[in-house]
Amino acid sequence: MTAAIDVQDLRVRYRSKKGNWVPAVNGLSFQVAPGEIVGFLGPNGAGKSSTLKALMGFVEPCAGECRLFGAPAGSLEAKKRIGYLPEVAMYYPFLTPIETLTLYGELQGFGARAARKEAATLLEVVGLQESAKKLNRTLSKGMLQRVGIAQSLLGSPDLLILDEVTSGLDPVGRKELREILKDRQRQGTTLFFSSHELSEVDMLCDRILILDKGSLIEERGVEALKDQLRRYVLKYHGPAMIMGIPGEGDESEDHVFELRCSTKEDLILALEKVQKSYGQIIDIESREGSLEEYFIDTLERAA
Amino acid sequence: MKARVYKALAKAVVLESIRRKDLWVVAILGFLILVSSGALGLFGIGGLEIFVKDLAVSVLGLFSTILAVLIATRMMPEEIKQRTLYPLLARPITRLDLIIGKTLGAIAVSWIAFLLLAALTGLALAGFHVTFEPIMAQYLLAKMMGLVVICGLGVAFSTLMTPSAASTMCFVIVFGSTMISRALVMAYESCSPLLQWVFKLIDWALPQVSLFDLGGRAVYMHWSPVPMWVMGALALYMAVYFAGATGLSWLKFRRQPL
Amino acid sequence: MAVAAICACAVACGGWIGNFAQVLNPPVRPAGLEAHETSAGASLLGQFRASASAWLYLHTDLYLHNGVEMRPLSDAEKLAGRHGVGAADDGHEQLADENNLVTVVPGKERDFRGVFGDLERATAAYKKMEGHKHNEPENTLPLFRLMTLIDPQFVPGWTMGATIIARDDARTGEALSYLKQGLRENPDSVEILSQLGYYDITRWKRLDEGAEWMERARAFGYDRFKFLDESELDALRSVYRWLGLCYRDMAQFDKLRSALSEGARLFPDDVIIARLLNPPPIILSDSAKKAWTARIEKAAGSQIR
Repeated sequence: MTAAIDVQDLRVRYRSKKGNWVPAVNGLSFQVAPGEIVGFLGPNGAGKSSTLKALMGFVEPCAGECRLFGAPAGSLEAKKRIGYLPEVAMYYPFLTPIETLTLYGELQGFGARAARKEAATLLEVVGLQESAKKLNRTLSKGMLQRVGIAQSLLGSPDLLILDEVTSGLDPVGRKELREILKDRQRQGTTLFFSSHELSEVDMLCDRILILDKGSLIEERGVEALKDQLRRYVLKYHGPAMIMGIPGEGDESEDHVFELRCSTKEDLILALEKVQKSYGQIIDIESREGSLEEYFIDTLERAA
Repeated sequence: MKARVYKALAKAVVLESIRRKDLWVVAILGFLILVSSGALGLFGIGGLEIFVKDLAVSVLGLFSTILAVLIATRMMPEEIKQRTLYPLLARPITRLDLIIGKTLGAIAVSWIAFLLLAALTGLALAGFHVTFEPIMAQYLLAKMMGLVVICGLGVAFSTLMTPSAASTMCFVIVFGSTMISRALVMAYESCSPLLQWVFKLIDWALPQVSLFDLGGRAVYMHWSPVPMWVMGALALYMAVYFAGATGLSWLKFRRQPL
Repeated sequence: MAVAAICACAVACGGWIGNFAQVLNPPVRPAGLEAHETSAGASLLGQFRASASAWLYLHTDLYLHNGVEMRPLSDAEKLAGRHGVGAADDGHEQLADENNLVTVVPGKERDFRGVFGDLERATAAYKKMEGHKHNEPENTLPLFRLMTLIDPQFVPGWTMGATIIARDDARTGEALSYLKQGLRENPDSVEILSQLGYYDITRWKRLDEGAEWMERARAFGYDRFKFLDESELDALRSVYRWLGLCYRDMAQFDKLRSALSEGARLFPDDVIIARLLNPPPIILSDSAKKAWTARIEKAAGSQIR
């Protein structure tokens, strides 16, 4: 099966104002299968936007190649199957959302009438039908982001490439967006997006790619990662911290200890040991790990 | 399919331009033309018809050229500066399509501005009981073809340099090409054969904007209409120059990192 | 309150406009500083109207040639032996020296631009101008009226306008009144005064009145001799010649000698003034004297206009 995104040894560089070549992406390789939702993470300046621009054909790689559904990045064949939301996109300030989307629809290949109909439908999907005829310049940042999301959905693309998709959206907007994207995924759309909002990544993605200084430093399935980060917490009352018990622990109050085990097996072993030591079990809970901490840890490890 | 893309891009340019009130400038200029021709009437001098016609045609040519240059040279840089080109280029269109569509938009706005000004000028001239000869229609048509050349040149320059440098260069070339061409003709006979070749090259490279100005014939009396082969040749020149200028824009823009 | 403020503004503006008009066109010109030397606005507007009038003046040439643009030959072209299009064959040649002019758009035989040249000749107002005819110069009169309205100090507008009016002998009076209107705006203009005298002498044979105009021109010219521009110097030279002819014909030899001596001192290279001052040798026959006098008169006449 042809990968939705296939990036092989991608290298992108920019010429600085002084005239030197500055590398932005260094030999990046990854694949995204059709129907997957992949989050693209990395600190500022890691090369996320450069990679997305290379996928869209906005910059030409100095080495390596990007293919979308088997077609070269930037080719008309590839672009016909993509919806793209730029990180910072402006829309013609003196056009209305409906006119803006109709324009993009016509460029997508719709006839004028069909483009207008599709535009109206999408504005309804993103909840902008009330503002369809206001000038873009009068819309808030969040509303403009909705226009951007709507334009990326034009033509029901097979692949959505979204750069900082939740930027400017309020919590309600984010929830609505998640619904839209989940809905698209159910219809078979592949999603590839960069974000600083790790909670979004957590809630949406099947897989994450972490990029730093232009190189891929981590590639994990989100469910497996969640399992790895999950901690089983055992709270017990006892005379002292039991020696040789698995996991990390500390005394939270007088003779009350909190033990954090990374696997169920360790938890069972710890329970046995507490019972043997005549300790009194107060509480057992399963805690989700912090993706944010993992992200920061990963970056520190790479550094 | 391509025609639909160009039409959509051009339509957006026109809509933006109208709502941005760019064409208000035209309305103000037109109002000035009306007022100044009215002021000429205040002098109470009869027999100024040719002069008023001459003045109106000169002002019409000047203002429409200035507007065309200013509109064309900001087309592409504004797309890049405002980052409006990302969603555009994410569509299944090429960068050449974008250049052609935007240039056609600039041409459409220039034409609208020119025709508006022409209508207001016509109104002012009617007040002086000026008669319109058939060549006036040819004048309008040729001028519109000239605006195509100017817009093509403006867009090409704007992809090669900053917008202000592009408009300055465009003004220098558009207004200076006639003078340069005439100076070359004057000096040609007294130059060495090598220099004569250089002169020929310069003359062929310069946009022959003056060819599209039938103002001299339109203003003065009893000039016969321009033969059809001449209008055809002007259309051909316009097409070739537009293609050349668009090609130059594309060469610069096609690999430009965005 | 608002109405009062508006009224006050209107009065102030009215007063200001009135003052401004006086600054621009004072009824009596001060002997010292000119308006443009004391007011920035007047200086700027003065420059504009002077340029506008000069542009209109150049434009009259387009009227005469029905839109065909002409230019003088360059030095290189003159050296190469190139000739101008020649005078018009319709008797208007006195309006401009066209032996030195060619069309701005070159003829096919002198154009290296090939098809572009052909196209320009087809689209511009161009025609071969050898043996050309002028449009009626009267058509340019509105332009002269306009340029003198815009800038009353633009003397060529008055003198050339009068020349065109006076092409018809029957309109000499009209030309004279046009010139007198110009004289009111330019009371010390040597050119206007000499042209007034010229029409009195040549058209109406009023030698005494003509001499009066010429004397006024002579007085102003003599006083400002060092500051006269080229056209005023030409006019002053003609003034001395015409004074010589007038006084000779009126047999006022003292005045003749006084004027011509002064003229010879200011224009020592002028053959006509020298000859008028020193009549031909007495050994010439009567017919030879008459022929000699006629030649002098003819030469003097052609140099005035």
